[in-house]
Amino acid sequence: MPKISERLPGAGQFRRLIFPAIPAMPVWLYQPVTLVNKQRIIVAVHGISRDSEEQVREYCHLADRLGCWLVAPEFSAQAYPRYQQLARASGYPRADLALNSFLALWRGVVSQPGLKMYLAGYSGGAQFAHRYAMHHPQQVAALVLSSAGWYSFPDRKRDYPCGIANSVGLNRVRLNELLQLPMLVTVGEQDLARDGSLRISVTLDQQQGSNRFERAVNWSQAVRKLQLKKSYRPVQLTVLGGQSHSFINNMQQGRMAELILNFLQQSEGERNEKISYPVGSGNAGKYCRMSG
Amino acid sequence: MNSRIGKAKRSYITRNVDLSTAAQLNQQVPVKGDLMLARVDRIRQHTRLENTQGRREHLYPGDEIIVAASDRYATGQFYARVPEQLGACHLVAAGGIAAEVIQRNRGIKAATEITTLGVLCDSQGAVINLSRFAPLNDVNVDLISQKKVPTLLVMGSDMDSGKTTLACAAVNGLRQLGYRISATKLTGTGAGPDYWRMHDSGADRVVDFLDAGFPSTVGLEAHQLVSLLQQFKADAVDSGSDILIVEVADGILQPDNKALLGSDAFVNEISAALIAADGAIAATMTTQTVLQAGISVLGIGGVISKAPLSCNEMQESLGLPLLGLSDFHKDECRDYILGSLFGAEYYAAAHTG
Repeated sequence: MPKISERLPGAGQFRRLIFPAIPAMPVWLYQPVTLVNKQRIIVAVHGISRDSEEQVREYCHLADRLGCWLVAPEFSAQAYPRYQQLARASGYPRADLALNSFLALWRGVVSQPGLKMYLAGYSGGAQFAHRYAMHHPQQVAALVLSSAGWYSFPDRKRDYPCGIANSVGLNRVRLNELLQLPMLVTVGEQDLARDGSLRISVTLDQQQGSNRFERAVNWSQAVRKLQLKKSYRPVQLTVLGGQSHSFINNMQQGRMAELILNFLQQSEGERNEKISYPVGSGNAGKYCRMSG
Repeated sequence: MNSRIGKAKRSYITRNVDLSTAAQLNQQVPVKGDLMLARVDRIRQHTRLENTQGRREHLYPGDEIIVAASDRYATGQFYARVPEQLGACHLVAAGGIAAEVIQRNRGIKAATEITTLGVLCDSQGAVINLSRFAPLNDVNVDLISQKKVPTLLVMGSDMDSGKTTLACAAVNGLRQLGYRISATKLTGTGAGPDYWRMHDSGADRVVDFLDAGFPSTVGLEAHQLVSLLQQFKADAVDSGSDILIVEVADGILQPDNKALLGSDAFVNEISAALIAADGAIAATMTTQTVLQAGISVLGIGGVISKAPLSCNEMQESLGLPLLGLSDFHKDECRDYILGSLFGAEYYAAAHTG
């Protein structure tokens, strides 16, 4: 078997790889043209289309700008039927642990024991990303959640996955550490459709809102409220003007790629700084709108 | 002669041997696995000799003991080689290994001194070597093609990192769910504590390299160890086991283990691994090495699980489950391990009727 280092893509190239230790989770890896930041890796998680190649193609420009490796894991419907919730049920493969196995392996490959990831997800990928970050915040340097269908709210009285109580079979939720992460939430201004890919129920609608837009706003507000109480930097919610539910359109026409790049660059500068945001201050509870 | 053999203290390593065949002592140079009659000269590190029932019998100068010539590699004790001649040498393991010490850990006493008096031979003059008493050699290895036995590897960062404790916790937890478990030790030096402990944990079947005629596995090539593992698998199938748990002695940097992890044939025989480590750095490096070898890691346990701060550090660098001993009695942990070994769909179907 060739060494892992011999199978990696060259600079400016990407390649689909299956690591034997993680056979159920192939990954698309992209090496930036110039590797500058060895302490970070972008992890871009697909939605229900499970199109990892699309993630790599769209994020590779960001990887070049940030000078770090990019990986897009592939959670197949067969191996990880409910990767959005980390696992289907007790005894089923855990998507979060598959990603952690990759990270552990990768830290060894690149000899960077302190490596953390910029974790970004779109739609179902954003569901995975925020639930992953709740359980493994120590692995994440910054979190980008785009157009999730629904969320786990930071509510300890409500069972997982709608809340964070009783996440049986998973690691414990580390809410306080999650709240300290730099977080960006994006959603299209026109992402209002209640189509077949959106989970709909009376309970969920009442708790979270009736579409992705409302749910993104409500989750961000719930998280922001807790962050402000602790004087943590609040989650940044950005609405993509005129955009509906399309990863490619959001990235290109909605300038989501540019937004994410700026956010990640900024997050490095401000990381772990405790900023005072008093409750009820001018910006609390509001969001910015980005024109496409 | 039989009377003299009968009076000698018989070591653990002879547990498969029919000593009634011993008829004479020969003065030839011993080779690995040869049984020898030896006299205890000076008691030092090992004050007792483990017998075939697991009891550690106290030694006294002048005692005659039956031991086997072999190498030993143990970072916490001795590095020793097969004696080049009969005469003065050392007892380097309580299980009954006679060897010449090359190096010893500074934290322990010098080895107990013995004199080998001769090599045991049968009435025909043939040397009695452990390889003649290897029940696993009678197992049909083709059996493994008939049924695939999920094989859980227990690998450690070093000697005394908690491998056997972790392996036995897994045996006991899964056994309590009704699974038949074969617990095995693939490498190491012939000694009873791990063997008996695996029995105590409830394993339905326990075998080690001694059952294939090896007093120790030091210096075996990777392909020989793979063959040994295949014998374990065939034996597991033969004995109706559902799961095979395989402990590998010492740590990942031990030369034989390095070769083993570099062997595709070995990696292909393993379903997943548990890692035992005595600290966060050890856990991280061991896990990364095993992952890079191509083996899935289900979790980390062993000595590290006693130290909460080390566990936090490990979680930070690995993010994989920490498996304390009590976890193996929890449904979520057992579901996780069994689902990983058998495949989620199969496992879920089996548990929902």
